[in-house]
Amino acid sequence: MNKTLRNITFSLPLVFSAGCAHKQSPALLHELQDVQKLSLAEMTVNKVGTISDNGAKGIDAFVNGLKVGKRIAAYSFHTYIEAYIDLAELRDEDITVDHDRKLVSLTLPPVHTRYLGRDIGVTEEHYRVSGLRSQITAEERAELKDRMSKSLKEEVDANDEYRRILVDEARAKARGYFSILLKDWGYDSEINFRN
Amino acid sequence: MNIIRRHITTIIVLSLIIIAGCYILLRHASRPTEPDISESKLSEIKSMVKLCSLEVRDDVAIKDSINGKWIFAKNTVNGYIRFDLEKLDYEVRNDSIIISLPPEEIEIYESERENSYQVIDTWNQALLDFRPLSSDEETAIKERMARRYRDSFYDKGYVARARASAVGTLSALFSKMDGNISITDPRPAGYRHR
Repeated sequence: MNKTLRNITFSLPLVFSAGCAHKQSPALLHELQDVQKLSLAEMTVNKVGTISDNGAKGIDAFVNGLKVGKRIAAYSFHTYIEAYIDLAELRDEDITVDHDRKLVSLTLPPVHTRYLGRDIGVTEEHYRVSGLRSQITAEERAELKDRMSKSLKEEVDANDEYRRILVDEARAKARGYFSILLKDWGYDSEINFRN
Repeated sequence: MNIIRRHITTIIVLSLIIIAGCYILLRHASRPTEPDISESKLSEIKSMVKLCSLEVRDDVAIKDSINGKWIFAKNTVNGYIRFDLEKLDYEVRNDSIIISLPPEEIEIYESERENSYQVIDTWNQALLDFRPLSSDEETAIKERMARRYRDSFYDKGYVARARASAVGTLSALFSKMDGNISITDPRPAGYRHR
């Protein structure tokens, strides 16, 4: 059960050309991993971010007052967090079968949580650029998305409630799934989790 | 002579104040305002039983266009190959239970880590078109990239590898519960054109 292969390759920096402009030469990451993770629950968390002049203070607010027109846009996206058990952590003694009583005792590995990732794109909730103001650029949206992700992770990591809800949901699902499966195969079951 | 010298000094000082004022205004005018970020909202929780047997994390270069607008960017994406164990199809033959591995589900996400999406350049093909790439156009390009990336999992053999690995994991798990259970894979190369 314990078979994990990790392959990380950093390719040579590529020279990209975009139109006439030559900019960064990023190193590209490639990571491939065989895993045995049993996903049991998934949480979707939403975040909304706004680009506007409203939050400006001091001299920025004064300068914004001199500009002609409005510039406001709001974007949102989802981030996905899952709860899983790693079947590679399952030991031989965690499964015992009493054939006479037709009873399977199963001790599952502890439930872990992790970020799966976020939406590929963003949803534009609102967009109004008027007067002599410049349009919102892709670079601004990318920066906003990065800041939103950072803020989301800080909130989720600081609040144990997110993890507790996911872990409870995952445990209930695992108990339900294995007990029904084993019942179908003619076994009663006792399902527990290792801490 | 003294009066002229005094006037020149005043003009120079005033000019310097005006230049400094313009510099400060221009600097602040071009500085983006801090974005306003809302509190996170939990929008859904769903339970499932899915075996994930392969994970891939890649930096993907995007160079694509839509409506004559081009973008060049670097995107870090996470790919997962999973199998829905609630859709297990099994049959009982004599004393044996034979389970068929379900179709693979390939899920592609953008990484939530810092700098996962970096826009390097954007430009318009038409000389007099100054409209920037809209959010919807940008998302359409990125979704096209995600579809191509997903399809590449079949060409690179990731799906076949994930399916073989899943058969191994499930065989080891279920055979411990009952020696008469075996796992078969009806489509070792996967369900590309499902």
